[in-house]
Amino acid sequence: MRFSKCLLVIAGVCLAAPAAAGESPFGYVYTTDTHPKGKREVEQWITRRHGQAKGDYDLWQARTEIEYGLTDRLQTALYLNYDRVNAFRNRPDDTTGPGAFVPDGVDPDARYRRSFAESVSSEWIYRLLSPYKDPIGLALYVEPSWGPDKRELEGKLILQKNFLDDRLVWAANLTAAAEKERFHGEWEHEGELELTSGVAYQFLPRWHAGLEYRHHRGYAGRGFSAEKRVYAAKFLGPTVHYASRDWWVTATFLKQLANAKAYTDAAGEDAIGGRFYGEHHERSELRVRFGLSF
Amino acid sequence: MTPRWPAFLAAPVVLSVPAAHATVYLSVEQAQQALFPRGSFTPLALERRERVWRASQGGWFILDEVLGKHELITYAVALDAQGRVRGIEVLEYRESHGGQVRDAKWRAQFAGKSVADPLQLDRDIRNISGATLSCRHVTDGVKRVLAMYESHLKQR
Repeated sequence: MRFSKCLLVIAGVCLAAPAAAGESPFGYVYTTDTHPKGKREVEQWITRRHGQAKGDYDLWQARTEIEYGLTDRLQTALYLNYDRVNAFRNRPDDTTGPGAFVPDGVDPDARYRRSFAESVSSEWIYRLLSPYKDPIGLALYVEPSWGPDKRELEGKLILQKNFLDDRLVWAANLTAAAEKERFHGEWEHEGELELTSGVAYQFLPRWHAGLEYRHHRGYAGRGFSAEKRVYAAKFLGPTVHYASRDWWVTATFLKQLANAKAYTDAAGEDAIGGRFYGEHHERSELRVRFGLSF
Repeated sequence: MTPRWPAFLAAPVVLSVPAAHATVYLSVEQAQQALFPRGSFTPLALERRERVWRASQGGWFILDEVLGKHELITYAVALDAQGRVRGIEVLEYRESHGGQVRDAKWRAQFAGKSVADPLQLDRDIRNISGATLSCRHVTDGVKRVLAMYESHLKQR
């Protein structure tokens, strides 16, 4: 059976359960909402990351996840990350790869396609303050990931403030990630810092619309000191969210802003027209999340 | 070149998604009889969102809606002739979580409250863990109804 058909079956089986809480009106920004104790939710994420320096580049990232409320404040999740890459002459010099998910040694004049399982992640969120009772919502997030070519430990500080009888939601996440990725057969240490923030307004029952911002910085080696900076890229775009009684869907489109920064010569080669195209960065990202709770 | 869309994108399409539906627990008439047994009710025309009836025993029956997480919660507040809460009822609840606001013990906390009370979660109204948003919005709704009594009903 082809990889994509396998994924279709897996996703179908996982999601064919009756199903919505703990969801976010945002595609990228987490809120402090967690599932009530004993509630489960299945989520499917699909992100299309489109366009690099030249030619064709599409990275489809999928995530199938099950979440569970251990207590009314503590939520855990287990998920599988799997991808498909399609690249053709995507590099600044008009060649195919190498780079993010395109290995060394590919034919520089041929199209490269590959589907692969990236990693398994375990997510833990603990809510310290509720935006519905306290002056501001606050939650802590930790997520270890393991994959054949990737190890990662990610932590987040999640803030949320609601206005206008909770119709207007503001949330922000500060994320730090320590990664170990295998490039050219060697394990390399990397770090990432990210600030994401969004506002969403409930303009009708069930419907939110808003705006999301993502500022992503990459670091070489261990630590986040200024001399280890490699790049910084910013994204901005709209989000829309619909929630029914038992299911919900969120779609977010982010466009990379033309004010990226490259701090090394190597990163500079991937910075064209003010945008950065190395290290898993593309011109635009479209993420769709779908959740069913039961 | 037209980009090929991976087949796994179709996964959500294969789902048989249950349609949203409201759970109606009480009709308006049933809620009126629950809060004012054997009463009769005279509607009052007010240019407001709330619907108001005068109860034959003296007092008021007020029907209102507040937003839950995504959907409206339909609830009713009964006030005695002095503007104190006799009781509240939840008529329709449309969401999958937070329905604990229908719990009789939780609703009983509102009995005797007046506009002079703070009506605030974790202060004079106990919260239900896992249903915080619904508790907050119903509590805020009752507070608004009491303010509306002061401004529109007290002198009638």
